Amino acid sequence: MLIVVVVAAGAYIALSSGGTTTTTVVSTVTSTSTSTQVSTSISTSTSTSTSTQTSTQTSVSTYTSTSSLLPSATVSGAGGTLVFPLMSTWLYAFNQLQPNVQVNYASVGSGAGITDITKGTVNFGESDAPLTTAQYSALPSGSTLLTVPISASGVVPAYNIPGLPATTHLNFTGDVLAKIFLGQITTWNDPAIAALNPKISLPSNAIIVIHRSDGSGTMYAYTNFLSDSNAQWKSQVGTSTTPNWPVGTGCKGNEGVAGCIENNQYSLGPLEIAYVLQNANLIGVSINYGAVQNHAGNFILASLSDITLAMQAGVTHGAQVPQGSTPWTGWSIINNIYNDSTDTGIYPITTFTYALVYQSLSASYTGFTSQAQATATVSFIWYCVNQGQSAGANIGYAALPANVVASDKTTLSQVTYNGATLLTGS
Amino acid sequence: MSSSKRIRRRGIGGDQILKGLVAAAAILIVVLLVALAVELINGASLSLTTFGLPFLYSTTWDPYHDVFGALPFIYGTLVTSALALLIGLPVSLGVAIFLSEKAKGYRLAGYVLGTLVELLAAVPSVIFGLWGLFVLSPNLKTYVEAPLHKYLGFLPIFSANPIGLDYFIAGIILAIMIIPTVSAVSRDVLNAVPNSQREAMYSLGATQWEVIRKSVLPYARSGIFGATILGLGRAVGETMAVTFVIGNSTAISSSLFAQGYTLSALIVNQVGESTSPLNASAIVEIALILFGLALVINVFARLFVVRLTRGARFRA
Repeated sequence: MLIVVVVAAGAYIALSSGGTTTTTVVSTVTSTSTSTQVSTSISTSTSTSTSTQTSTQTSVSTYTSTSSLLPSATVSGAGGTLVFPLMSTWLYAFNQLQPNVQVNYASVGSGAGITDITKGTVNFGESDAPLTTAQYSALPSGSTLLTVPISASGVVPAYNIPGLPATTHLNFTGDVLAKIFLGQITTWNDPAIAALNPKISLPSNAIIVIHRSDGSGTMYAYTNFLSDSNAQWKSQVGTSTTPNWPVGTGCKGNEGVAGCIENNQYSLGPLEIAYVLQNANLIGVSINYGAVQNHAGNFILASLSDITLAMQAGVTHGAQVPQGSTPWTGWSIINNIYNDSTDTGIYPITTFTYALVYQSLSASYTGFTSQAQATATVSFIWYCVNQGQSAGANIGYAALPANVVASDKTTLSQVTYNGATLLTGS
Repeated sequence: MSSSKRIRRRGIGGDQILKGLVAAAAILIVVLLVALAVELINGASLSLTTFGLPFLYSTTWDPYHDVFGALPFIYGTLVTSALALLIGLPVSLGVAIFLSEKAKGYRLAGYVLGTLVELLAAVPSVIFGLWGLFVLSPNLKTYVEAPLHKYLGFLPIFSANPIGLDYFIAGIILAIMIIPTVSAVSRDVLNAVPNSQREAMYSLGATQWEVIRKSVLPYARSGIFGATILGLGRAVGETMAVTFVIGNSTAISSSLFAQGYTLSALIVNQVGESTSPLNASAIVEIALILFGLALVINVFARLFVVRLTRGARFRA
């Protein structure tokens, strides 16, 4: 409509130019001072429950296999953005298997996901970092929140160095990365970087340090690795979704970090591997990133198989994986594999992303309205952990190893609705 | 007779209903504003009691160590808003003067231009942000910031090595975003200047520029000032576009080419990721400061407009 008006007006001006129009113009256009602001990108799918058919299985609300249709229910979840592309795939695929169940997911950020599950406004939460002690203590009294790893990702040091071939990858160690992000190493040809890359002639330009500006599980994993690798980083900055960066420029979201790196030659910034692989596989944009040294001394260029290896090692070495209701505070793959030199092929900056669900579901603080809803929630999480894992390969998420799937199953079988177990059988 | 009675009765009933409805709407605004302030103060109470007044001038923002201060964000908000006004106001005035004085002979040209300016106001800010990051920032960095830094780098305001994410780019984006608001309102204000004002000047042999400068602009200055404050209000609260190009660094720098942070950018970056109750409370206090800043700007503007218009009346 507006385009038509503009075109017509343009034609009118073109035709009448030179003509003398002496009419007094009375402006009839009222001023608009509306400030249209799109603040956060909260993505939810439609919340309409499509199925109204009466299920013949209302009494049987135990999830055994995909062949049994679950009764009609609507499930809502909220949490991290890291997992959102994979979650969207799961939502669609699960709905194909279970047409009576409608699952909605709001990608609002890990912190908001934890807040939502704490208040019981969603059926399940999602977070890239396990709950802190303060967050555990804020949970409703008497409740037990279970933590279920549903996927994993890796963080890579991405950079933009003109003249460096895409097939050449720089080597980094955690200590060197920490020193760059502390502002102690400031140029690309610093002896510390050169020692790791003897065959590459490095430019003398200053390193432009890029990081995320928004709170992010990606930064949690990255700062976790830097804390393990460098004592000063650990005491000065620490492990956080929103660290107080000593130097550098904050860019919003993975797309912002990628854009800032692309726009600035000689820049370096941490990016989530899923984002890098999605760009390469789906859009054909390749972002250069470096290899990172693991504790065995090997420089690993992140790939999904190395991340799966890291997960496998992470749950078999170091601090034991918390089972059932044990708090997860402080547990991380990165810590567990940091001192592990037996596995030579693991990628050291690997992190889980977790689904959060209460152990005893009821109407009281968890906000569940029916057993069907509780069953659907647990079934969906189990679907993600089990069948859903193969969906991640194309979009950059590593599949959970069998030992994690088994441990998740143990955790999920502890979930009850008014005392009744929800997940049984296979 | 009876019919007129019925009409009167119905009319009174309608009047009362309407009166109730509009009064309710008016009260709703007051309730909303008060509720907002109460909620903000309530949410920020933990941070207010923990940090007190030093929150306003402390420079550390560290969620991991639970230490919070707002100065980098207040500073960034003031610097970018001032830049936006400095760049945006002259352009807006130019647009308004063109639309109200020069384009009068061309009804449709003026209409189309006016519509386009208003259309600019309807572009969602996230679009400005992405455009700013991917188009404006690299170009301004190469063709404006780099030469300025090279030749005028001895001046403190151009001293930092430009990387295209800084106060300057944020100021430019904000200027573009306030131009529609300021120019549309200014145009209406200029249009409202009585023609007798212009005709009197013309009859004395004044040129068009002299008429605009000595007669139209002084007459409209309180309205233009109001328009400027509307623009300032938008610049102070603008979030998404700024977040993309400000650089989001808590360092405070005197250089326009250094990375900074604004109040609204901090809120949008960290509101979903608070790691402790104190962190969440500190973010709400940032929102409270933004709310207070917007209130102060508006009150100040109103007082100024009142003073200006009274002065004009006395002169006339």
